[in-house]
Amino acid sequence: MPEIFIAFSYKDVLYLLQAALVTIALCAMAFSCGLVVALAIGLMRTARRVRVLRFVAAAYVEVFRGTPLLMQIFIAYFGLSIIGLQLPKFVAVSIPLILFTGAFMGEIVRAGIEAIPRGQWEAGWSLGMSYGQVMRWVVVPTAVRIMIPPSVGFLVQLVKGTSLAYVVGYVELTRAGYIVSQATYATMLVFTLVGLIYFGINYPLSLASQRLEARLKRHA
Amino acid sequence: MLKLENVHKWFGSLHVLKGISMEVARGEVVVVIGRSGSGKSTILRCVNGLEPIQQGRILVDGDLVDAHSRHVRKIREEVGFVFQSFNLFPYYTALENVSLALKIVKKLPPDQARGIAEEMLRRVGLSDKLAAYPDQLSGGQQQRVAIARALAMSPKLMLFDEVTSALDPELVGEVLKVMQDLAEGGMTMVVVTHEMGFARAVADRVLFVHEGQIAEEGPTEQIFSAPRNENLRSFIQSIL
Repeated sequence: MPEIFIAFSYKDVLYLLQAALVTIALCAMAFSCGLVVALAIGLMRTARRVRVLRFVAAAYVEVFRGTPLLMQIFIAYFGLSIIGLQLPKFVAVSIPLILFTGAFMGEIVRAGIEAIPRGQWEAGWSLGMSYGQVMRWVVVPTAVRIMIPPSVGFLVQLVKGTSLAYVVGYVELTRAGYIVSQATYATMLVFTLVGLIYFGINYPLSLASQRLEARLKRHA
Repeated sequence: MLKLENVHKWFGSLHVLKGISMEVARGEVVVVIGRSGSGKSTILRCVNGLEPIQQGRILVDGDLVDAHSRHVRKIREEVGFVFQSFNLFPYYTALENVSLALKIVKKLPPDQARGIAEEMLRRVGLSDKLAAYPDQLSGGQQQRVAIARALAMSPKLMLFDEVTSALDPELVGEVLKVMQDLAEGGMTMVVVTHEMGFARAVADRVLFVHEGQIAEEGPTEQIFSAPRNENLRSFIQSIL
């Protein structure tokens, strides 16, 4: 019987590792851009005086947190193309990931800011500081420490979430695993390997966060 | 230095200050006493613009306090406030707690801010704790840092809001001592407190607040030895 498929080899492993780099890059991009969105959302949601800002930010969070990321990617790629806007795959995947990150991290930012006791604000104000100065010098240093554990939790979710990019055919780790398994029929082996690579990305993240947390926890 | 004219304050439908009028002269130490919930702390918070008022006027050195205006920040720079719960910044050392506002509000160069902060901490007896974080200090020490932090801004007026109420009894003395030194140095002070011994020793004048109004005021000795108001009499009896 002639070989109708290629045997699984080290070349496939290299291919998967290359795709893992795409996943990591996608994640890093989505997380850093999403963080900027999240910062704006968090500040808007905690704006005491301006109701409309709070409302807009809350609506944004509800929409992007309340719908599946898969649908968001689907709409960004296929949905927009129906109305004539054909985004490149990378962009169609990036935008939902960024907006999704903005919604989740925005809530983490808000929770961090709101966890700061009112007395800290009053102490800053009583020294003549402005809202922005209290935020920058008093609230943020404490809030950041509160935000680290849930942020890493989200980042781990995001690493796995990027796998949804496969629906539009964007080749990241999961898609690459699919391609290799189609070619080699070594499905179990390939996806076990894919799973291990995801774990290999996430576990160091958790470890790093535990270290950072312990270091920052002093003087809490 | 400080003047309140017919000040009214509501929290929702709760009428907490019902026409407070009072004056504090430069260099005077006024102690405000009264039961919990009488509104005495609210008076201080209104003076510093931490709470807006709905009616009346508050003047600090002739300057109108409006909690909603930007100008209130200028006034706060000149009015020190010390809180019951210290409210030190947890991730700053004692020195940084005191020098932070000097750097970012007064915009002093770092070495000058540091010099002032060291001097203030020396005044409150904490020269050996410059590098300590709040969680490494006792309650009494934390409150002294808070006083130094307020003093560093060189305020014209100091407000003390039950600053010893959260302290263990053995730590109250060190804080009162600092306040007494301050009073003797000529600082204008309004002190809300339950420490009657301190009031008798330091106050020039005592105000008794009852249900949002100043029920009686007078020189310290007169308030304690010859109270006229019935509520004041029962209040003094209940705490002595």
